[in-house]
Amino acid sequence: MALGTLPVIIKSMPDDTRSDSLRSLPADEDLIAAYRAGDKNALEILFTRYLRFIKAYLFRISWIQDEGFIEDVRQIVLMTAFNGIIKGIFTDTRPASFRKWLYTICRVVCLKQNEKQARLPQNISQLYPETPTAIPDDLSLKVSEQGVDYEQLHLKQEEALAQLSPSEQKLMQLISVGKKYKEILKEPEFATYSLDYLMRKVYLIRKKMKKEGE
Amino acid sequence: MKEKNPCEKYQLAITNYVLGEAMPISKNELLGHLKTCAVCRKDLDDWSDNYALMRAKTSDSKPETKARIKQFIKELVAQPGPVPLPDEIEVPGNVFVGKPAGTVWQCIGKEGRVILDDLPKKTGLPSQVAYGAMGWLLHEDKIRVTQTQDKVFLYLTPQEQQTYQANNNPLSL
Repeated sequence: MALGTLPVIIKSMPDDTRSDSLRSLPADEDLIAAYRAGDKNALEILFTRYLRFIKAYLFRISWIQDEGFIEDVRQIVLMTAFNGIIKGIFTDTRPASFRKWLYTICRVVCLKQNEKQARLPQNISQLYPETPTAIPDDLSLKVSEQGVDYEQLHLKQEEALAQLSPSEQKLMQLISVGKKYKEILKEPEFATYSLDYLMRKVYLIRKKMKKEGE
Repeated sequence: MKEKNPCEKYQLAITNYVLGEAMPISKNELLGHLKTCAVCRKDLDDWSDNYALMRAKTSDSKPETKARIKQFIKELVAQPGPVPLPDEIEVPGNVFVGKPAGTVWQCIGKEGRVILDDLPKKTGLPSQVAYGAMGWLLHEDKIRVTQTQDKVFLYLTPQEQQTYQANNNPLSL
């Protein structure tokens, strides 16, 4: 893409990672080149594109699942990425290299902040002893070194969620705000469910979403 | 007839595992199964990613979060140079160099001559601080440096040595 055309495109950029607009954005490399050529807006667009995906990745790898903590870590990730770009540490111009670099920053910053916050926990059970089977520490860090293509996953997930019934959508929404099964059972819509039934229901919904996404 | 999923019990457990809920089987049993079953490992990965993305989406859809992060990015990209990270704290020049320079000066004055490599140990300062202070003293013409083939020595300049002796001689009081 010619850099001269970029500011025009940038003016019409969306302010969110909506699925319909994701594919129409300029490539990461073009945005970084535009920023280096003096267009500050380009970096704003680049960071906005990855906002949700950074957060998702942090939720995925962090021992500490507190929303405020993840938000703080995301800001440090953005600051580190900004410093890296401005100091010329990131110079790779190959496609998708920015994403990989950004996810590497996420891993390093997240690990450091987790250690700092929790004073080197061996596992999450030390942080939340009341949680009998929390996210497995030994597995949660085994995320692909390449990072996950959340952009692709986001599109698939949107489609899959749209196929669910209103009640199923409501259930997934409650789960995505971090509600526990016991809390969900107190909701009027699910008050008649037993715990076993609810567990099975969530399992079946995620299987359905997986099938829709394939 | 629909074929039964042989891993259903484990995948049910994976659902709860990622959500941090109690599982119908033990964690060790699940981990043992995951070591041998690539399908379930993939299932765990997929569900973890999906759940993380759903949480991020819900969290970011709050208007206050959205507005805050938007403002943060706007301010960040407007910065003319690298920004200090939250765990970096501003250290005043007199704390980082001034006071240590006094310590280094006192040490060299007392010893008369100090080997460069021994400076951190003799002053009790971290090496980067001791050498930073030494640089400042050199810049201010308060110390001089001599060198043999394998060692570097630090002395106070004659004028500074006199000042040191005058300040530290009990008879001068």
